[in-house]
Parts: sequence; C-alpha cells; structure tokens
Amino acid sequence: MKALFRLNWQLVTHTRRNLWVILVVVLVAAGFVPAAQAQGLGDFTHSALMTKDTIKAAYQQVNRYVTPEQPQVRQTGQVLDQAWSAANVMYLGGAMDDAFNVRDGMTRLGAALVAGDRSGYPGLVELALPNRAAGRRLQLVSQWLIAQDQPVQRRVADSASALAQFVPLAMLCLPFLLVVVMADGWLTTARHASIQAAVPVGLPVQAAVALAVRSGLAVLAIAGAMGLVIGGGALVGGLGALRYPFTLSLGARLTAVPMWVNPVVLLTQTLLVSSFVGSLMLLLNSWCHNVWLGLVLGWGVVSVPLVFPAIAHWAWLPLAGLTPQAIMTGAVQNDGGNWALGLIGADGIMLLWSAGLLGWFAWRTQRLAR
Amino acid sequence: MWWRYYRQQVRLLLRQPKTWLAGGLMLLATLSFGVRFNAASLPPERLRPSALATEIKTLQSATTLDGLATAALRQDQAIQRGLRGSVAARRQAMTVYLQRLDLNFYDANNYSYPAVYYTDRSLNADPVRDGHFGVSRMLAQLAGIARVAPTLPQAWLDEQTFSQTLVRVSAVWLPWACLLAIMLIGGDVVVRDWRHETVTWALPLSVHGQLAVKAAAVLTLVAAGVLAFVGLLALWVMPQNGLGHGAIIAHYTGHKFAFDLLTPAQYDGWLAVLLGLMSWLVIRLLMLLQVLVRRTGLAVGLAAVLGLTALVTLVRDGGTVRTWPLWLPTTYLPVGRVITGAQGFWYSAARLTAAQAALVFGLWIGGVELGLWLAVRHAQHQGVMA
Repeated sequence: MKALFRLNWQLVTHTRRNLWVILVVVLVAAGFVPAAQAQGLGDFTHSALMTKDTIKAAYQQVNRYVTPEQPQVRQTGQVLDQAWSAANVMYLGGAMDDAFNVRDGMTRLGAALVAGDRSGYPGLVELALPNRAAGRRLQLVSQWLIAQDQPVQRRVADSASALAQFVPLAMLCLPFLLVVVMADGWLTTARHASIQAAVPVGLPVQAAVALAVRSGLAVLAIAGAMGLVIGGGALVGGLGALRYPFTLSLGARLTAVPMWVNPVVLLTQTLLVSSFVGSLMLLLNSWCHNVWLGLVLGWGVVSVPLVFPAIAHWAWLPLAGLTPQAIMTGAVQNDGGNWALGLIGADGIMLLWSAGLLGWFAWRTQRLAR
Repeated sequence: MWWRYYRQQVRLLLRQPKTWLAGGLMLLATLSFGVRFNAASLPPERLRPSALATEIKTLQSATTLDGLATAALRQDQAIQRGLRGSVAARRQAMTVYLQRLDLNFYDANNYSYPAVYYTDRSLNADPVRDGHFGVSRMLAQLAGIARVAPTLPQAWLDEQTFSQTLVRVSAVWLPWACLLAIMLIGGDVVVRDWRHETVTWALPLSVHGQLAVKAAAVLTLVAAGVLAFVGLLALWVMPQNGLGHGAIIAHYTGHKFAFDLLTPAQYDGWLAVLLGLMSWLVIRLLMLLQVLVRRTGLAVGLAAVLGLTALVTLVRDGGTVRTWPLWLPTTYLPVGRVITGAQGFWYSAARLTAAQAALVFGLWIGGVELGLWLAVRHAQHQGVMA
C-alpha cells in the first residue's frame, strides 16, 4: 500500500498539468494582497455606500411621488425607509471612522432586511435588495462585534482581512482546480494493464488511493495558497483580528464563528469537494479514456451551478455542494427556499453521490476487467 | 520551404491535445453564450412597459397628487400612448423615457437609474456617472437606429442583432479567450524544439524565420478558432435577430458624455487590427521568454505575471488619471471596450482610445522583437541555438 501511495504521489507531482495548477495557485495567492489593496477589494465604505443607494433606489420605486394607497405596499415603503436610514448610519459611521455608529447601523439594517424579505416586498417591480441571509449575516456580525468591542474590517490591511476576501474566491475556483488535478485519476492505471495486474490490491483500492493522493495534493496546494495570503497580509499589517467574525451555515441557521475557522472550513471543503469531483472524474476516465475530453466534461459539470443556479437548488442533486461559498453565506438556501441545505446537508448529499459514483466506477472497471 | 515548414508546424500543433482543449473550451463558451447569455443580457435602460404601467396604476390610485406627481403621471401616460402610436411617436416616447431615467444626474435625491447601477458590486462603481453614461449611450444608439432602421425593430433596440452581439462579446471575453488560447497553444512552441536540436540545426531556415513561422502557425489556429466562434454566433443569432447594419454602435468621444456612432464595419476593422496586434505581441513575448528562461512553465508564468499587473496598475480611482498605465499593453486587453470608448470612460482617460492602443501595441511589439533578436543572438553565441 505504501508503495502504491508513493507511486501515485510521484505521478501527480511529476504531471505537467498539476505543476501548472500549482503555478497558477501560487501566482494568484502571491499577488492577492497587493491586487486587493490596489483595487479596493472589501472596502467597507464603498460597499456601505452601494448598499445605501440600492435601498434608496428600491424605496423610490414604491414611494417616488406618492405614499402608496395599499397598506402592504405602504409597509414596504416603511421597511425600506428604516433600512435606508440604518444603511445611512452605517455608511456615515464608516466614513467618519465611528465604530459605534457602524455597528448600530449594521444591527438595524440587518433587522430591516430580514423583516422586508419576510414580507416579500410587495409593490417592488425590480427586486435587487440584499436578501434575508445577508440581513441575518449583518445582525450576527454586528452582535459579535458589539460583544467583543471590535471595530469593523474596513479594507484588506492584514492577514485576517486578506483571508476574509480570499477564502470565498478560493471556494469559487475550487471545483475547477480539482477537475484539473483529478483529470487523470484512472487513465494512467488503465493504460498500463500489466502494472495494474501486478499490484497486489484490487482495482477499487487502486482507484481510492489515486483519489486520496490527488486530494492530498489539492489540500496542500490550497493550504500553501492560504499560507501565501496570510504571509502577504502579515507583511502589510500583521496578523490582524483572527477572532473577527464571519458567518457560516452548517445546518438550517447561520452561525458566527471566528476568522481562524475560515481556513479550516476551506480545507475541509477542499477534501469533500475533491471526493465528489474525484469520483466523477474516475467515472469519466473510464468512459472517455481521454484526459482532455474529461477536463472539458468535468468543467461542464462543475460550471452548471454557476450558469444555471436554479438547477443547483434541487436538494437531491450534488450540485449545491459545488458552490460552498454560496452555501456558507446562506445565498443558496435563501434563493432555493430550502434552509435545511446548509454545509452539512449539501456535503452529505455530495458524499452520498460520491459513494454512488465510486460504486458505479468499481462495478464498471471490474466488469471490464473480467 | 517556408510553406512546408508552416504546414508542418500547424500539423504538429493540431496533434497536441491542448490545442483541442482550447477548441473545446471555445465551443463550450459559444454554446453557453448563444443559449443563455445573449438573450439574457439586455441593456438595463430598455423600456419596460410593465414597470411603466405599474407606476401609472400607483399614481392613478393615489387620492391626492402634488404637482411633481401629476407631471410624472402625465409624462408616463404620454410615453405609454407614444409606444402605441406611430414610429415617430414611439421614438419620441423612448427618448423621453431615457431622459427621465437620467434625472439622477441632475438631482442627487432622485434615484432614477435602473436598479443595476445601484446594485453593481464591481469595484469602484459610481452609480450616477455610470448611469448617465449608460443613458447617454442609449440615446446616441437610438438616434443611430432610427436613421438606418426607421421601424425601430425590438432586436436592434435590445442589442441582440449579430453586430451588436459581437460588440458585447468582444468587449472583454473574446480578447481574453484569444490570450488564453495563445498561452495554451503557444506556451511551449520554442521550448519543444530544444528536445529536437538535431532536427532544428539541420533546417535550412534561419532561427528568426523559424520563430516567425511558428508564431504564424499558432496565430492561424487561434484565428481559425475565433472565426469559427464568430461563424457559429452568426448562425445562432442572425436568423432570429438579423445582421444589424449602419452606424448603430455608440462610441464615447472621451469628453462630457458625448457619443458619436460607428458602423459595424468600422468596429470590426478596429477589432481585427487590435486583436491581431495583441495576439502577435503575446506570442512573440512568450517566445522571447522561452528563449530567455528555456522553461515552458516559467515563461508562461512570467507572461501571466505581466498580464496580472493590470490588477495592480489599472485602478478606477474616482476620476484621478494616472498616465503611465496608458503605456502598458495590459490596459488595452479589453479590446472591444477600448474601441467603444467604455474603457476610457471607466478610467477617466480620454487618451485611452483604439488609436492609442494600436500605438502602444506597436511600440511593445518593436521592443519585444528587438529583445527576441538579441536573445536569439545571445543563445546562438552560447551555441544553444542554430
């Protein structure tokens, strides 16, 4: 077994395609902090200004010239008015560097957005407001900041703030990178039947080892990237507030957790998503016997939740799990109307599918070997 | 000999799986654009009769209306009537509608632009300036369409004709696709020969000639991919929405939100020139890096670093113009945006035009060609090249 692991490790670390992936990951991670600072990524004041404008624009849709006659529409106007006033407090607090007003504005804005989303904003024709999950996130973060007497992160200025911006981006790209790493999971073995026959373990175990080694490489690459981002942030402004809150949804509810949990979640997601992508690629390998065709098909599958988000909302498909950044923020649950679909649920479904695909692959290869 | 060497290079490139990967990705992109994104990406300023009707209903159901509201109701009703009337009345209604959208530019408390301007999360978006730009562009386009297609076909107004689709797709995505395809196909085109030194040394062609032919072979395949993409798009779009001819493409002059109009032929001409210059620069730069570092990964990595410098150098900075990024080729990578002037507007740089892009690409090509000539001389001097 040890020899099999070593053989696979040598194979993946000498594959040019994997070296490319590592090169890309290193380049992006190394340049992330300077690029984020130059482009103003995560600029709190700008984001608060845009939120304020969004709400005001929506308010004017229902209340531009007259106070609406229908009580429900009038209530929409009132909720939006409250939300706008809270967003204004948050924005001005940010502009004046007043931590109290920022947190107060966030709390009130969160409450108004949750109330508004519950009502469904009757009377609004063009609905483009932050959703209930965003409102709940604001509430949780502000509660945490008030309890810990912490200021809000205003821009990428240290390791913690860099990590807060990098992790969602990494999660978005994760399935695409994994498809590349997993692209030849079975092809090399399948092409060398004599070696395959000489290995003293069965085909499913060989496949599982191939999958495990590639997952390990992906985890190492992502961990290295996070190390570079943390290092880059530390060079600019130190480690920062590692207990700054961020929200994630494990089950039906959003929860606030400290920032240091973020890398743990990303690495866990890398492992879980790689189990699904890996088993999918094994099956594709056994069908099309071509790494490049497998790549195109694999990218096709993992881009479905981005191109057709509505399909990803079907709970019994594994596609929601391929967008961990959207599940963590509650966006998938909110849009799909299925709050049971937290990280645990989506990952569980994805693991079930992985087991199914692996079983299918084992059955196929054994039937072909006979 | 040249022709045979060129054919051999094309054949060799076609045998590489990554060439077919590039082709497959382009096909996927074409399909997803044709199936989903083209029909979905309508201009946000388009007139939506349902929103207009809702506003009229709301205003009519109010028990009391002040002077402003009464004027708004009358204007709404006039627009609604105009839409049902003659072509001239329809055009007038649309003009009035667009002018009303633009109120936010003159009154900070009137959030009148389409919601997308207030929800745009792109970095450093400015709803009022961007909204005014969008409305001014649509007004210019409406005037152009009215001149060449007096019946104001809906597909033209919604920018769904083939010419307008090509403008949208070539704004950013097509040049990026070209760039990635060149890096994918041509990233190892010189280094590969290091493995066959005896063959290279025996060729009766100079090294400079070989490199030029190799560059031409890579660009032939990329051009074929782009033409296939454009052809498929035409097959998809033209039967439904037509070609879209005449001066209908709004071009920002760079000053005071003033627009003039380009014909598709003018736009496509500039697009071909700039894409060609950009592609030649990229492949020759990749070759130079390969000759210098003699490693594919390192060469493509360095080229990618150069490309990614745009993320650090090109920043929309609230109207502050920085002149030195205007001399970097990465500033001009979104070729279509450069031609229509949108890139110049976004970065508050009136000089960021198609002509300036051609000049900068040309200057960089000169520099890279000189660097390549020197690098090859150095390699020959060391005895590693024929």
